[in-house]
Amino acid sequence: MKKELKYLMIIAAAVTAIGFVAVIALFGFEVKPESKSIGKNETPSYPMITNLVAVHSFSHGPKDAKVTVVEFFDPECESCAMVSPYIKKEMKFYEGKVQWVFRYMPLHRNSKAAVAALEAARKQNLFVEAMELLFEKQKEWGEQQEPMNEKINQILFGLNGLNKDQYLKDLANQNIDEILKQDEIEGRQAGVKGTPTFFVNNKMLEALDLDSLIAKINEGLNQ
Amino acid sequence: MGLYLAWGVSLFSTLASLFFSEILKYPPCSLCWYQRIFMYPLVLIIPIGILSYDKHISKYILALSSIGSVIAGYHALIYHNIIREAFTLCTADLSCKTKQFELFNFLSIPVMSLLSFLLIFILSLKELKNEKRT
Repeated sequence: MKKELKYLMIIAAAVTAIGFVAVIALFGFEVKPESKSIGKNETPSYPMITNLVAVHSFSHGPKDAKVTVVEFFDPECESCAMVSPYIKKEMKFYEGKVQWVFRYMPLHRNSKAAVAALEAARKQNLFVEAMELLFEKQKEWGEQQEPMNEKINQILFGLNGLNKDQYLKDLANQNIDEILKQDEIEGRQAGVKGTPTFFVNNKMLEALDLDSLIAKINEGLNQ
Repeated sequence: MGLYLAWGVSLFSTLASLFFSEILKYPPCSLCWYQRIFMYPLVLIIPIGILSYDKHISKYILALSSIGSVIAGYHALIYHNIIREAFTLCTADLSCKTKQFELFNFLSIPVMSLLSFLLIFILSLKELKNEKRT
């Protein structure tokens, strides 16, 4: 045998050995794949939706507005945080003319905790304020591997007019699983692949930019 | 000897990346795929070069590992929030920032990739000098 080949085999053996030792040292003998929480092929138990406004969803503005904007968002999503100030501005600008609906598409580690916090704040009519605050301080709690529930609560305690005790009570007593499940399934049916995804009068906004969102809103208002 | 070590590093990186994606089922993001494009060929190119006494082997490795280093470096910077990713949709399985595995709190997958590419780059740079001497 060529000596080069012999060296290569020694290296291959060494790498394999190091690999095995590393795997056992780091993961033990149980190597488990990460469980994916999102059932991609789950069939819904209710008929396909034609209207994306769910009864449980938070909405802002008149229910009979000519234009309804639905945003699927994730409180931990960076892009959602980036568009948040602009959406806030447009909500003010179209006050009374456009209905804004917010639905969840939690895709990150602490998304669900943040959604729970938002739902608890919503009971005190502070949904929009809480959402904006969480987006603003996303760097402090987002993209972490550990649960950040405490941190999220601490941030929301800074909200003007929030009754802390009531908030904590609501947080403990509510069940958001059904809401999340419905939002997720309906969102996926409607073609939501990531966040933020906007729908103007049930039509998905193909290009994610503010100008086309505004154009679609104006188009709807002028019809 | 440097080439053998470089091969060992590339083999280890390849197996580790396959371990993460195929056994632990971490979905590889797009930047990871680009790094794989430049890492996987090394596993074959280096031993073929060694066994056929190729006098230009270090150049092939330098080309692959330098591009790989740049991508891995970019990925590591994004991952550790040093530079911002271009504005994109947040999706379940494609963010290059999703924290998946960290050794000793700083050795993330992109950093390990960067170290591997740099190590291979340095080893082949040494080999290039040897080749020139002979």
